[in-house]
Amino acid sequence: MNISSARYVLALGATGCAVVFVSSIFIGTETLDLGLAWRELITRTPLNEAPTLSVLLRHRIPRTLAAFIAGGGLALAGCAFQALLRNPLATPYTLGVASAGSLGAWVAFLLADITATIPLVNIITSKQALAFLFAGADVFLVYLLAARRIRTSPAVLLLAGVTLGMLANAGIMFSRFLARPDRLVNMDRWLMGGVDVLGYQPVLFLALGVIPCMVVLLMQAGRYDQFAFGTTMAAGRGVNIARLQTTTFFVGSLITAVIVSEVGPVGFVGLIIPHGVRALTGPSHRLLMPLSIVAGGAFLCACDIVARRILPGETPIGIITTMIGGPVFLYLLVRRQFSDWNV
Amino acid sequence: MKLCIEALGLSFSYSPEVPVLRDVSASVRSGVVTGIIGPNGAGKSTLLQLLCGLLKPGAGQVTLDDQPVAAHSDRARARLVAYMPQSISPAFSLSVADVVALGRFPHLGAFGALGDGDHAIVQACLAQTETAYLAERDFLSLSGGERQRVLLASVLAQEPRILLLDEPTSALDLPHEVAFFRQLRTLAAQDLGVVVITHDINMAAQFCDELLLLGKDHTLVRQGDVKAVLTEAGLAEAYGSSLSVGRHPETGTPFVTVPMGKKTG
Repeated sequence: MNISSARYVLALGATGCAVVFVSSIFIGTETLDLGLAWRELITRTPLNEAPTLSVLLRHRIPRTLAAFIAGGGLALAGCAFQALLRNPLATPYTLGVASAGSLGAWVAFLLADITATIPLVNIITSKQALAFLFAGADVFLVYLLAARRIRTSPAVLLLAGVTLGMLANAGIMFSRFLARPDRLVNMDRWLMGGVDVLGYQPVLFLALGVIPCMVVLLMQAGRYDQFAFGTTMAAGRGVNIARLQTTTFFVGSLITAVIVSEVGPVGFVGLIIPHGVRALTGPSHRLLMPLSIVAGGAFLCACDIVARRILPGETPIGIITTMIGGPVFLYLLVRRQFSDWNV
Repeated sequence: MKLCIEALGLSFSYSPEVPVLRDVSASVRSGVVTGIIGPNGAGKSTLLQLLCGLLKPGAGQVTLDDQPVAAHSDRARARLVAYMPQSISPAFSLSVADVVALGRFPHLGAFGALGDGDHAIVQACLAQTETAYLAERDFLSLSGGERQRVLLASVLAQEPRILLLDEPTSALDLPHEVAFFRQLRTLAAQDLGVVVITHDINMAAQFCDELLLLGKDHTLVRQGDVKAVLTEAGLAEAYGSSLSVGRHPETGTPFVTVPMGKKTG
């Protein structure tokens, strides 16, 4: 891809993303009267007496930001894992991070009865905190595995990730078995994912956790390009393979852990967005990675619009990403016959 | 200034019972085409990876430019020595120009952007290997001969002083193989060092200045100029079967044939 068409694609992508981003702020279960919000703003009405402005500032904007960061982070992590493992099926969840995070959240649900009233302990055992802790533990286990040898085969890591995921799923089944039936509804709802955050604290947590990791991964773009011809060739070019593996697994999984703990296991974004973007940009990670962030963010915002406006009630976003993403991805597979990947 | 890679007493094994290389001392340098020959499993590829520091020897030491190879940073080493593995293909579609541009990696900054100078070098490497007309093609759609020329262009784009090539011609037909070796001679004339693994002893005899002959017992059986290495005694020791050494009708260089009357191997 030459530079002028790259700029064209980037401009197009940025515009599309901006449209989705703005739409996401103004489309919701209730349509937002922008004029009313403006009047509330200029008359300096206190927020609790200004319902429209309050919806805009406390619900819509944080929700859109959360969706954008989560979608972008998952897509970028997917890009990085696919490049490192040279495998088109690698996703941010391949290493079991999502399942481990879910297990953490389920444990939090189970503990809720005991810990809800104890200060401090109820923060530590909140579902975000435990989801992050469990996902982090999964990351650490995989990291130990990757760091133990000089070059761990991708297949070993994938198998380890799948196994850890299965273990976590067994734990989830067990906690389901133990849980009170009336709690199961809430627990299941979490498993379907949602970006319905309230206020800016979750957004800040996402931003602080995800954005520095994004910068680190973006700086590896040139190294991922070298992986096209395999690890030996990349090593010959001067890429420190062990360091790149460690960095990618740790940082990519950290992104995922942060996101899973806040919005639940939103599936599919990390798998389909890099493939879709690759079809536009070609294989250069210096273009593919930033554009995947933008496209992933926009995709999750768009799914959230569908969740709020088009489907009944507030449909969990995890269902929608897969319901939209699945057919689109199948279409890509059939049409492009996976010709991008030499597998 | 000649750039040298020197190996001193290299041994390597993946497990103690199975040695891959035993006590190999050798040196290669810029401006010279060095062929590495020997039977399957003698440790040729391992030696090549030891020479550029991709593998660490169990015993012995490799020096590059009079310093231990590990003392160079990965990128600094890659600016001196380029390594081309055997039969590689990309994980996904890449244009030929992109493949060659990958070679610029050790010269780039943190975010890996190519400057005008880098693009000019990519173009020059495409031209030098006569692959400029392929620049926009998908690498995966190329023929075997085209692929090897493009990969050569891509390691040349590293602007190394020494090239290490692992069986670059094993998939090529005879005319393509000859053309590839001629190209290596041209590069050596420009003071590049070329170390090339091949199973074609006669091609090595024609186009290499020096040979390293590894034996099936994982030791270095002979090293030196072609005439000194390609003797019937040396080949018998290395391959464990008798080969006849005659003279090439045109050039007078050693010419190896399999004696059909005797039982071989």
